[in-house]
Amino acid sequence: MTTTHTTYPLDVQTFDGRFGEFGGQYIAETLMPAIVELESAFREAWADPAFQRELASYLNDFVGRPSPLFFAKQLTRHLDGAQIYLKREDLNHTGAHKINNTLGQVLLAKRMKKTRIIAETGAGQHGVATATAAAIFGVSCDIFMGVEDIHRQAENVKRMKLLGANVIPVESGTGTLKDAMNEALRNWTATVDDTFYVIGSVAGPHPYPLMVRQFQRVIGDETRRQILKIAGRLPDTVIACVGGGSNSLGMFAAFLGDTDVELVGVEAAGHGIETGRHAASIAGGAVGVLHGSKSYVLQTEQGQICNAHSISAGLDYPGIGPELSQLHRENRIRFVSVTDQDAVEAFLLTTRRQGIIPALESSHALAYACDSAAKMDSHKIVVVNLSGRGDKDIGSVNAFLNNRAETTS
Amino acid sequence: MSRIANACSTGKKIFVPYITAGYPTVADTACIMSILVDAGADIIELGYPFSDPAADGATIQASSLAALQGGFSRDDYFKIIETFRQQNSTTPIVVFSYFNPIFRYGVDRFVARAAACGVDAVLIVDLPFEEQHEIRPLLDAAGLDLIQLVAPTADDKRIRRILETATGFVYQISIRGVTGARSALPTELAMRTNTIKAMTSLPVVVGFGVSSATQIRTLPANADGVVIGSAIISTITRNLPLYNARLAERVRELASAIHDGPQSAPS
Repeated sequence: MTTTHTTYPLDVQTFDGRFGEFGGQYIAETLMPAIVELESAFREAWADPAFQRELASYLNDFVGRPSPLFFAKQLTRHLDGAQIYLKREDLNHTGAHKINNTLGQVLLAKRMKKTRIIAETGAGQHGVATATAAAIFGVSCDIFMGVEDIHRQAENVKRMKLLGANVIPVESGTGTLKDAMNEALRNWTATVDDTFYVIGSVAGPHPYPLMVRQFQRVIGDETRRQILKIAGRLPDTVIACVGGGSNSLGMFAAFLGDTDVELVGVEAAGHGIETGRHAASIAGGAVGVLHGSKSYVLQTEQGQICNAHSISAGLDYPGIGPELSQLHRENRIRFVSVTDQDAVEAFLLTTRRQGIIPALESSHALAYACDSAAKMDSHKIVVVNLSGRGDKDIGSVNAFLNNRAETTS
Repeated sequence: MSRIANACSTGKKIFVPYITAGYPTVADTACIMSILVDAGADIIELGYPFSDPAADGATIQASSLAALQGGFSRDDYFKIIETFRQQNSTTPIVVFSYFNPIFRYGVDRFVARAAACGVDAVLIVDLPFEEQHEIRPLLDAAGLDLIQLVAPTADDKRIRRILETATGFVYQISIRGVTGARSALPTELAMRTNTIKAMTSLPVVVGFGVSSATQIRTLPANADGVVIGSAIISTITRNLPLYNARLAERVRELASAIHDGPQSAPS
């Protein structure tokens, strides 16, 4: 059985950065030589068995991979429908899938003799994962984070600082992820000789969308092996939440060639797509160029970027990775969206019924999974990427519930 | 002779001020352009405000945001140029923009409208030559220049590739970093200018980080001109709402430092 996607070539050694119309390298001229250098360094490292061995050893012994694929028996019984399996990325060291990619990129940075790491972060998970990789490999680390997110994710800020990273508050714009990314790009433009920019999503200029996908596809590769071993067959549906898209593409990449497997990307509908206060680039965006690549982007008719909204800081981004845009256009991935409200319900349900506190990001995938599993036959198999743990979100969930209690009383 | 070629043939270094369209207001912008010309501007770079200006420093970011909050629209941009062109038919105008507002409008529509209202050239900060196929054929057909940036990070091979297709003038980025005033400029600047000039007969203007007359005097003698942006925006911001006189004074000071300073040898 082939696992190669057929409609565009995706050989790391020859891929040109274009997913159909999407992708590319829309970036300041000053950064282009660094991007070209990164592209060839990544290709070379990816083909080097020594690099792969070193990365695999850290993924196994430092991150704790492979992460389990767990049959959510209680949730399945409660919903009385399809069998629900959870890919437990929440059990990774640092509590989310982000570490898979940051270890890969920081190892690459070391190989390229870069002495300083920068990264942007929204929920703080990518920031923590980058700070962790920088700590273990002994490079200095600056994390750009919007002031609004610093407020929402105070615990992760403390973790990054303990790990030795500088957290640089970004006040421009709305003080969220897109502004942090703008500021990281500005900083990189000034420090490009000795600095490696660790992007946390399958976004940005080529080679980032390709590189992050390759570092994250360990999620899907493991899942595919695990479900074949457990159930003896592939799942009917694989579901993941989508902000920029790193956990979803990491999961989906392994299943693209399995045309019988339905792939569902769940975007954040915030207050509802119709309110305009959401973070669903596919459902509510248009094709545009942001942060180095062409993809679906939340924007006005004038081409100005809109502010995204989601209760989940990790999905609160007005763009989506270019490969996901192309897979949407090819109808290979079906995109749906889930509101803040429904995500919180799924967060509570999974916590109470299954004993797992999921990240609010992953709760979007869980909400759609619960909804659709309940309507499916019991012999069907649904896999959900539980991309992170929700300890960081307890404050946000409580605030949401208190606010709801006040408005309804 | 094109307006740009004409502006570059005065025998003196040329002064290229940058301003953000719609800042402080849409109504003020055409008037500011006239102030710049009266005070000695040879070419005007008219910035198109964008919500996420990742290649710009704090000053230009703030002016872009203020313009957008003031309700700036695409139609305003072209109306500003039309208004200016009613009084001035000689000073070249360079559109300075990010790609998304152009792409969203439709590259063909943008180019047609820019050409119709009297734009001379387009500079897109996040469209390196690898992506210029998006707009180059349309600009060529409309007779507009696509201004090429040469960064301090580029090696000779890259510079040569960029210059192969350059028209109008070449914009040499002086520093590693985004736009905005700097206290010091790199010492190797003149060498870079020499490298670029050895590969092209086009005028080479230096920009990013230049903010004072003192600094202008330290710029490479062989450069053909200077771009100044943030220092001009700051002058407007500091003197709001009645900034006209101070702006004219500051621009005259910068213009005379450029026009009267050491001149490049005629090529």
